[in-house]
Amino acid sequence: MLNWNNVYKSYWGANRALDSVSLSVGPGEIVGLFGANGAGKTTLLKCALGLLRYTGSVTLDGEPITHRNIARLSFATCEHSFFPALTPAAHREFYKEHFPTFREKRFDALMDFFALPLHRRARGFSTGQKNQLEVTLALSQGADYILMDEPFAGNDVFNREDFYRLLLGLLEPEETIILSTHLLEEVQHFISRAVLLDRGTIAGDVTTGELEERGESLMDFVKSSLHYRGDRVLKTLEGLDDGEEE
Amino acid sequence: MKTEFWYPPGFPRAEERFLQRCALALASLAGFIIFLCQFSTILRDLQTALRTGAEGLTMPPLPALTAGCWIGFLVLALGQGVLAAAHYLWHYQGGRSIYRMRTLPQRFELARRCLAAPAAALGWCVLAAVAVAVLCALYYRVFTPAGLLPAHWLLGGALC
Repeated sequence: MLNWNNVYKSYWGANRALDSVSLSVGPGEIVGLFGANGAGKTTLLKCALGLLRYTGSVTLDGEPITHRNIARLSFATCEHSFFPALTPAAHREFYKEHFPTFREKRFDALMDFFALPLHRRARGFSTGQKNQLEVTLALSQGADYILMDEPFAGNDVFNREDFYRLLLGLLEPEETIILSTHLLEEVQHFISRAVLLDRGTIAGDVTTGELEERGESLMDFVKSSLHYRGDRVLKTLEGLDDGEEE
Repeated sequence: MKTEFWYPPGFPRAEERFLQRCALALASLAGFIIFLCQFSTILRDLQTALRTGAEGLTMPPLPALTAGCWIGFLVLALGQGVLAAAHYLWHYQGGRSIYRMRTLPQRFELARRCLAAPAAALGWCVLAAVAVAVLCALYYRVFTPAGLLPAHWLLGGALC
């Protein structure tokens, strides 16, 4: 179980990126993390990985996250955490050396699936290919909790849809995915739970089963939880029209 | 253990090692040449003075002639700090591989890969400086005329 307990984070003492966030994610869950830009999604993931300083605590099965258990978490980020000067083959060696639970077969299968060149330096890849390598490495590390932060920004829709399907078949029952993304409609059939962040707080937390029972779509749930103002476009356009008439 | 384990992943280590060796050779050569220039100038002056009848003259002790020899080594040693910083900043090139390095289960992996090569270079720098000092001492002892050799030529008055 991955737990955030009253996690508070502010940048330069100004805006509160996270305000006493408490969240628990259990084994086998596929959690979608949603929210507007600046809601705190990336910050939440980075706090778990120890990449940011924060107050509160993040624990993994009751233990604080240190070098002893950090290998149980992996991270795929749109900022790309792979080594640009290494080839995928060299990455495979690096991961085998550092992660005893590295899943080599899964790595090879994903490399085939994405048709990535094994012996070309990653810096020469397209943005889409870089994302694919990033996700491949995160999924192959052998981690129990796979944290993904906008991993598909720049990938075409066919690649993404195929990938979700592949991922569902690929994951072991105990593997957990926490996926931060804006692509709500794409992932709604893939996730088992949706967590909404709004200005550093949890604005909603629901399983897709509960949504189905309510007959509510994920998009409607997000819009209602975040108090989406559907009339704001019309109001803005009307305001512009009035101004021009005067 | 392979040398790549001592550098950031993908870092152009062959180029760095070549440049380090060149810099070390240059620092050593410059150190010895500076010593030679000072030694030959002073020796020539002393010999001129002796020819004019001056007496009781001796060469300055060795440390006085090697004072300027270490500047190259000092620059090289300080450069290792810059190199360590460059190794760290390498993990921000073309992405954020620093995230990967900071989340490795091997706690000191990042520090090892950033600091090991500069620390080793620092060690080589000290060894080269000692070698140049020995070379200067031998040269001083061999090429200083017996009449001009001071009593405490090696350490000057430091231990007297």
